Formats: sequence, C-alpha cells, structure tokens
Amino acid sequence: MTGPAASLQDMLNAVAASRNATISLLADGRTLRAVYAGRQSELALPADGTDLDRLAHIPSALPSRARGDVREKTLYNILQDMSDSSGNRVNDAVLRERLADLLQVDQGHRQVLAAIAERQYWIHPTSASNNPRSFLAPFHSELPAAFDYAGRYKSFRGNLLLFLCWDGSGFDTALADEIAGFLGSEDGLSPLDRVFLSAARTAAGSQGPARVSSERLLERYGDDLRNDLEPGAFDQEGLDRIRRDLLAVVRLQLPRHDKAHALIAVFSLHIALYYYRLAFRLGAGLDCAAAVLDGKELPEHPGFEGRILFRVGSAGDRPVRASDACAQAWRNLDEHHLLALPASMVSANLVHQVAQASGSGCGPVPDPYACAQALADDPVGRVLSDLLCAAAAVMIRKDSTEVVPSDPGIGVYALREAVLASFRSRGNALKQRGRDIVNTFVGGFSGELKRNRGRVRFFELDEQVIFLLVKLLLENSGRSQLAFRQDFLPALREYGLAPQDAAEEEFLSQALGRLGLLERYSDAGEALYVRHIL
Amino acid sequence: MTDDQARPWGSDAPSPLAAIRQMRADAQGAVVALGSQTGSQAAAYVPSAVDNAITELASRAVPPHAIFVTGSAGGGKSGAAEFQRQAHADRFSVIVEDATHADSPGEDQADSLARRLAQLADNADQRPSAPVLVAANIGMLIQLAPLWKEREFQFTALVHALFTRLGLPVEDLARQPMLPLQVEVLNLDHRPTTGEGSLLPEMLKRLAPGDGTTLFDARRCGTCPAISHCPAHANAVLLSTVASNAFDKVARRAAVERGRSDTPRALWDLVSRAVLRPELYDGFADPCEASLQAHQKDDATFVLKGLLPVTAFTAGGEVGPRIAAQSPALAPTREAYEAFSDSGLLPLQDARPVERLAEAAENAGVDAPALRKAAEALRTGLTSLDAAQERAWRDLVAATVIGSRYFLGELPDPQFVEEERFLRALGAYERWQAAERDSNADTALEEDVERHVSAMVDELASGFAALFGAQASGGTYLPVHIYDAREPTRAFVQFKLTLAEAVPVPDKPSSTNPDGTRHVGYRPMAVSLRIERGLDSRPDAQLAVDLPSYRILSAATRGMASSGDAERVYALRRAAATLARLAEAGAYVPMLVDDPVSGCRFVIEPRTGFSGKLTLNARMVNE
Repeated sequence: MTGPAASLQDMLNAVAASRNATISLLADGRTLRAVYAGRQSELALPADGTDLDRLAHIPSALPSRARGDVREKTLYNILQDMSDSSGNRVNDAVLRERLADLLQVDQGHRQVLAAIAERQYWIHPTSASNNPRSFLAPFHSELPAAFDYAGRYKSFRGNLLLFLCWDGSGFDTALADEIAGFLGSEDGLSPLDRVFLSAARTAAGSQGPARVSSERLLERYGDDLRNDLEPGAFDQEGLDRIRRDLLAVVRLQLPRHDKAHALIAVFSLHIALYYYRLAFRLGAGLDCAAAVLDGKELPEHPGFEGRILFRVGSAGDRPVRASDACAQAWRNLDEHHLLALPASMVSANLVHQVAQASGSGCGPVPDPYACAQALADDPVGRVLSDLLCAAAAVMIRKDSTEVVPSDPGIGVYALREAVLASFRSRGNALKQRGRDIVNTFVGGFSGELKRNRGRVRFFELDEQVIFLLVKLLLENSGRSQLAFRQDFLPALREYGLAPQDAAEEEFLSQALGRLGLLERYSDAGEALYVRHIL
Repeated sequence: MTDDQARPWGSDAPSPLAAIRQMRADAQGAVVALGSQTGSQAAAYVPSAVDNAITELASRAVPPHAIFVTGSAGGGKSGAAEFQRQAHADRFSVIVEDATHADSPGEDQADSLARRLAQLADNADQRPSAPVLVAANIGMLIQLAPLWKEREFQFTALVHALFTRLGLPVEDLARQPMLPLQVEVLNLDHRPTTGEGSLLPEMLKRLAPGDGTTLFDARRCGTCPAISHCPAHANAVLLSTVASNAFDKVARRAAVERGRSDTPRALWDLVSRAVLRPELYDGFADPCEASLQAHQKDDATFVLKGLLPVTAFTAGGEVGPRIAAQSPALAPTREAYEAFSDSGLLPLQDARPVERLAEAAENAGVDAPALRKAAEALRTGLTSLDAAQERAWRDLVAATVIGSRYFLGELPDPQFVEEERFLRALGAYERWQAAERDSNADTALEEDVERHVSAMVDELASGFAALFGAQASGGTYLPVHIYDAREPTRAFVQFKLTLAEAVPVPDKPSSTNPDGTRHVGYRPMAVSLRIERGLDSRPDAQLAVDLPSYRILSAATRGMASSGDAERVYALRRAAATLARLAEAGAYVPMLVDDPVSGCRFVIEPRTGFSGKLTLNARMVNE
C-alpha cells in the first residue's frame, strides 16, 4: 500500500485499535473488512458523491426523490398520471389565448369574462424559490388530462398517490378511484365553471371526457412500487392514516370548491407531517443505534406522538420567544431532523448494511431502531458495527477532502456527521430533499403549520388547519362530538401534534369556541366537546 | 394605645366587610358543603324558582325516582341541595352530592356513588319510594359514566337519561331496565343569574346593611367613626338600592357577551370585588381597618378609589374584565369626553354627580356617609401642584363622574343602539321558544318573533355581503370558487337570506331537556337559525347567532372592520360559504364578477338556448 492509501489505512488502523479490533481496506478500495473476537464483517462504501446520493433514498419510505413544488401541482400531476391521454396534451397557453373566443358569453363581454376566468381558473404561484409560471387549477380532472403546463419541475407524480394506497399487502386503490370520481364528476360546478370547462374541451379538441382511474397508475408505477414495498413499508401506520384521512375528505359533504381545497390541504398537511415523522424516526433511531453500538442499554422506542408542540395562531397578536416550547420543537424537528433527512437516510442505509453484515436479524427495512434492537444482545456484532461505521466516516471525510479527526468517536454519530459534511459541501443538497418540500406544503399563505416571526421559527396552527383536523377527527371517529381532553387531544397526538403547554390547551379550546367548533356543556374541563359546525 | 383605643368598635360585633370578602371565589366561604353551611352562606343564599321546582317535583303524587341538580362548579348545586335538606328533607329518600366522600378507605367516589344510587341501577329490584336528590357537577358525571361502565355497574339507563337531557353525546344505548326509571335534570348552567327577576338583583338586596342576621351585619358600623371613609359601606348601600338595576344590567350584558350565564359564585366574586376593592382592602386581616386608617389620615382619595362608580368597572376576577369592557368611560360619547376634558378643572361641577348619587340613596331611605365625603373632596379639588398627582387625580375624578352618571341612569348607551336589533330579536326568540316548548305560542307572539328576528336576519345578510361579498344592483352576493387560495376571488353568487331561508328553531337545551329548562327559567343567549334542512340523515345546518358574531356583521354593514376576532370571522366565513353553496345550488343563479383589468363589475346571468347549451349574459353595473 502506498501514498494516500497507506495514510488512510493508518487512520483506519488507529480507529480499529481503539476498539481492540482490526480493519482493512480490500483491493477494490471501497470495501472495508473488520475483524473482532474471531468474527468478521464487511461493508461496501459508495464510490463517490453520486454514489452517496444514491443511498439518500429509502424506497420503502418515499416513492421517489422528488423536490418541493407548488402544492396544487402535485394533484395536477397525479391526475395526469391517472388519465389515458398522456400522448396528445395541449399546452394550457393555447386555452388561455383562445379563451375569449371560446367562452359561451354574449359577444360584448367575452374579453372581460376571459380575463376573469384567467384569474379564477389558473393558479398563480408567487413563491420566488419555484418557477412562478401559472398552471390550471385541477378542479376537474379533464383539465390535467387535456392540458400540459410549462415549467415542469422534479415534483411528486402519480407514484405518490399509489404509494399511499399501499395497505401492507397490496394497493388499495379505493382512494385513487374516489379522487378520480370526485374530480371527474360535474357535481357542484357553477355556471361559470361549466362555461369554462366547455371552452377548455373545445380548445383541447376532446371528443369526450378523458378517463381517469387508478388503472393507469398501476400500469405506470405498480411493478416498481410493489418491489419497493413488498418487503414492508418503512411507516405503514403513517400510510394507513394518510389514506384513511384522504378518503374521509373525499367523502365529506362539502361544496365542490371547499372539498377540492380540503383535499389539497389535507394532502399537503399529511405529506408534511409524514416528512417530519420520517425524519424524526430516522434521526432518533440513529441516536438509539449510536447508544447501543457504544455499549449502552437500548433506549425506549422514540415515538413521534405529540412531538410537534404548537401554538394557536389566531388568538390575536402574540409575541414568541426562542425559548417557547413551540420554537424549541421546531428547532428539534426541522433544524435537527428534517434538514438532515438525506444524510439520515444515507446513514440509515449504511447502518442497516452494517447490521445485516454483522448477522443481526434487523429485517429488510433500513430502520435504525430495528438495527439497534437487533444488535442490542450481540456484543461482538456491536463492536464490529461501530468500527465499520467509524471507518466509513473516515472514508467519507477523506472523500470530501475534509480534515479527518484522529478519533472519529462513536461510530454512528461519526458516520452521520461525515455524511452531513459531505452534503453541506454541495450547496442546497440537504434542504432540497426535506425542508423545501415541507415548506411548499405547509408554509406560506394558508393551511399553515409553521411560521417565522422575526428570527424565531415555530410551529403554529392556523384556523384552516384546526378546522380541517376537527372535521377529520370527527369523521374518522364516526361520532358527532369528541370530548376535548379525553378524545380530541389524544387523537391530535397521534398525528404528532400537541399544544405546547397547559396554557396553550386553554388557548386552543378558546379558539375552537370562537370558531364555533366547541360545545361547552359546563365550565368543567371534562365537559368540553369538539363538534362540527354547519 | 391599646387595641380597643385603636379600634373603636367592640370586639363582639364581627366585621361586615370580612363577611363580604368571604364571598370571593378564592375564599373559603365560596364553597357550600352539604350539611355544613356557614352563617354567611345561609344569609347569602337566594332561593329561586329552582328551589320551588325541586320541592314541587318531589311533592308530586308520582314523583320522579331521581332529581339531578347539575351544573358547573359554583353554580349553586350544593346550595340548592342544602336548601332542600333544611326545608324538606322528608320528601327525599336520600340527598347526595357528587363530591360525597367515600365511607371506607377502599372505596372511591365512583364506588361510593354507585352504592348510594343503587336503586337507580338497571338491575335494581325496586325504585326509591321518594326521589333521590343528587347535586352533580357535569364534569364529574362525564367522568363517572366510563368508570361505572369499566367497573360493570349497571347504570346505562340512568346515564342515558342524564346525558340525553344534558345534550351530551351518548355512546351506549340504554339497556332496558328491569323497572321504569323517571329522572328529572335541572341544569343550573341554564338558570339565568342576571337580568330582571333573576338571582343577581336578589343577591344585591342581601348587601343591605342590617342586624346580625343579614350578610352585611352593620352593628359595628353604628359606632364606627370611620363610616365617612368607608367606601365599602357606601357601595353595599348603593348596590342594594339605587345602583342595583344598573349593575345588574352590565352583568347581564357581560353574560350575553360570553354566551353563558355566570355562576352565582362568579357573581358573588364580582360583587365582593366591587364592594371591597381588593387593592385597598386585601392588606388588612380585618378589612374595616383599611377604612379606619383612611379615616385617621383623612384620606379622601381612598374613598374615591374605593367607591362603586370606579370599582364596578375595575373589578378583576372572572366577570370583572367583561364588565370593564363596558365602562362608560371607554364609550365614544360626548359625556365621556367631557368627563375627561373637564375633570379637575371645575370642582363644583365634578362633585354634582356624586351629590346626586347621595341624594338618590337618601331618597331610598339609606345613608351613605362616604358619598358625602367623596363629594366634599371633589368640591375641594386637588391642592397639590405636582403634575403626576394632578394627572392621576383628574383620571380618578373623571372615572368617578362618568361612573356616577352611569349609575344615575344619565348616560345614553351607545352600544345598546347598535346591538338593539340583536337584543330585541333575542328577547322575542326567548319568548317564542318558551311558548313553543309549553305549546302555547299564539299569532301575536309569532308575529313578534317574525318582526324582530327578521330585522336581525336582514342585518346579518347585509353583514355577510359587506364582510365577505358584495352588494350591487340591489342584490347581495357572496364569494364563490377560487381554487387558488393566494388570490382573492372575482366571482360572487347572488344569495338571499331572509326569514324564509333562516328559520328560528329551538336551541339545544330547549330541545333536549324542555322540562328542565322550564324549571330553571332558561333564557337563551343566542338565536338559533336553521339555514339548511339536513337530508339523508344528516343534521340540519344551524347558525347560532350570538352577540359577538352579530356585532362583527353589524359593524361590517357600517363599513367598520372586524374586531380582530380571527376565529369568529373565520367561522362566519364558513357560514357564508354554506350560504353561497346553497345559493349556487340553483343552476341559473345570477353571479357578479370583477374585471381584474378595469375594476368594473358585471352581473352575469346564465341561460340556455334552444340547443340546450349554457350561455352567460353579462351587463355592467354602476357600483
């Protein structure tokens, strides 16, 4: 061994010596072999940054490596993937140009009505970070089926909906079909909607309504997703909850426009919560794995319930401090876990490989807590895994020309830090895959989950989110009212949501009262019930 | 100097002010326990229609098996049970409080109550010969039900009857009990505690200074040289006589504002704070000593700060802040402006309202020396030249002047003018609902409710249009359909909201427990309107219009912005969306659209031609 390889081996030897083990780099220059107490274990490392990026994905946790995009566009993309007419779509600019001629309006007012329709039926994103081009509002499935938009980005497509339909053994496509049924029907369309839709059909030259169904999704994505999910979804419980809630929304007795809004809002809220949950589970799971590989007891399984400590956003102007629980929770979940999501996925994949190579029964899903559990009773496997993680950290640091510390420390922590450093050296790579996505779904104009005020960022629920959650929880419970403390707050916790403290519980109950969503049967706390209005 | 020299009253006579202070919500005297009522509590207890109703129910030839007196903490449940225990114990098989302690260490409250109520169980082989009287907190009942179920006590029929009458969600179907079960529920949360003929006016009468049997035991006052510096005494005199109606009126408005009656405990707390301003009296073990000290220092500011015209609008506690919000000093009136601009400049003028208040008390046959002392201080004016003192003095004078004029009934009520339509509608709705419940509504009453509720609904329609929609060409329009939440909508649908679309319906307490609401003299705080009949087993869509919601809509009709109550505005927006949806359900409903380029408005009217194709006709409107 000569040159840099020799110095790398020296570093690896030093790491191994501190664990009374030996380690060697095989001839391919990427495979590490560790030996301890007569057992050996190997880990094949990514060849370069691109290869490392490949590991920043867990197929059983997410359907693709999408980035953030305008929330309505996700539904638009899904409907396009569900339609038969993928080959002959017209650009929506054609419709915009011909609209004044096509609207069934008396001659003198076509220009005016066309201008109004342009404002009513196109989404005009204002986010500076995304392409600000407009696209048609997907209030009827014929529009995405017939029209394309300019400025396509790496957003989620129909594979997201099919992914959510996975029930543990197959695809329960009832959700996709109900969405197709709702957005393909003419129920609840206003005269203006009908006239606009008629003009759109003429512009697209469509002979009849385009068929939209789950079959197209299965054809396009079924096989790939089945391969990814058959060994087990990373978070089946999360998928089941999202599917249940989206079905509940589609079945709500709401006016069409409200239901379309609610569908997009619930979809957005759930995807954001799913990302937080995923990021937390990976991050906290890696902490548990680090503890176990360091020889400590297996910590209790870190649950996501009630981790998003929020405040109510509508109780007048309220100052916020960085020390408030809602701001601390944001720092923990967003800054610590969500921002690090791609790095956590790489680390989880490598820890999973290490645990598998050590012969532990950690299952096919790269869940770091399951790895920790599997290694907890295997002292030799723990040392081998810790050594391989630490050695991998040295290699990754070396790849990204970072200064390599002589003692990288606890293996899993060292690994995660090294991966994070590698991502940080590549511009926005970290935030594009987690934080940006969540921001597009639940930050901005309405349906908010998080807010900035000055330099403090924190979790805050606005009226729309509160209203939606009440509707969903009542629908899912099958009851007309839920006891605020005994039922409603525990149900919120399952979503990961909890008022930041006892005073906030009171604020929440007052806000619900003013929204008309609370029945107060007496002044006693137990006698508060959350209910529907109208 | 000995204690007796320092305190001119004898040691036998108790402090009347201490008894009033004991009525504060945080004091021991605020909680009544069955069988151990204190003298002050007995003197403060105001028998009401509820007591008569309980006695009457228990005295029937076929009485119910149980009478549950329910409500919130401080609602008077235990007081009512104690009243029956003292007056008519023989008419009940047992009188129980939900807070009854267990009889043995191994038994908790759920077990203890289950044992005492055994004759009300599904599987009881006999019912009580006389009613069981139970004073029960609603929160406690909600907790008891699952505990009983978990421990397999068979009270499903009892729980079902209680929950149904209280309007609580019922999860389990009642089992058919072996024997019939008759239960009456009197929910004291539905008892009006303020307003004419209710508890508060009677409570205020209890403040009248009297001998040793009254709440305000004035034996000490007879010999007290500090009576001229005792605003608490003057307040008790005023509240029990000339200020009673005005005080009750603001308390009633505070309850309407909240949408629920305040409990007697909360009202006693308010009264106690209004009589004895806590900042002045709380530092003394014997509150009379605070007045004595003011007398010794000849501190007229103490008197002014402690007098009702000021204390009524500065009381803290649960109710106080809602009354403070109604202070006439905050109202945009000429009188309030003049009180603040002139205060301290014309001392003789400043003193007149307090002098008139003293005269009014004298005309009512009572004497309040502290009022004369206050008038004298106002006539003298401020002698100090310190600017900070002058400002504080002028504020105090202004608050005293405007408060005195309020209690003399000399001020217009600007809020009332704006809210009059709602309050009249609420009054008519209350009468109609009671008549509907008792099946004695007549044409005159129906016309009355139609007139007043109709006027309120018209105002609501204009408010909805002004707040969320538009008015043009004589039509009212609500916004519809914008799929991009970042943009304001430019399309509106014409809607109509009249009494035909918004029909008054009985509210929940009246529909779930008609007998109980009659017994407690229930008065609604909101007008319930049905705006959509529920189809396919869905419930009706109802809109409960309360004072704060009405105020937002009413203000919008006058071009005023909403009050910053974001959730209420959001809830009203949801109501507007429902109205818009109902309007839109008609396929040919006219719409109003805004041209984003010119800002002009157009009414568009859909029509179908011979081909059956939908076409829109547009015309520009002038607005």
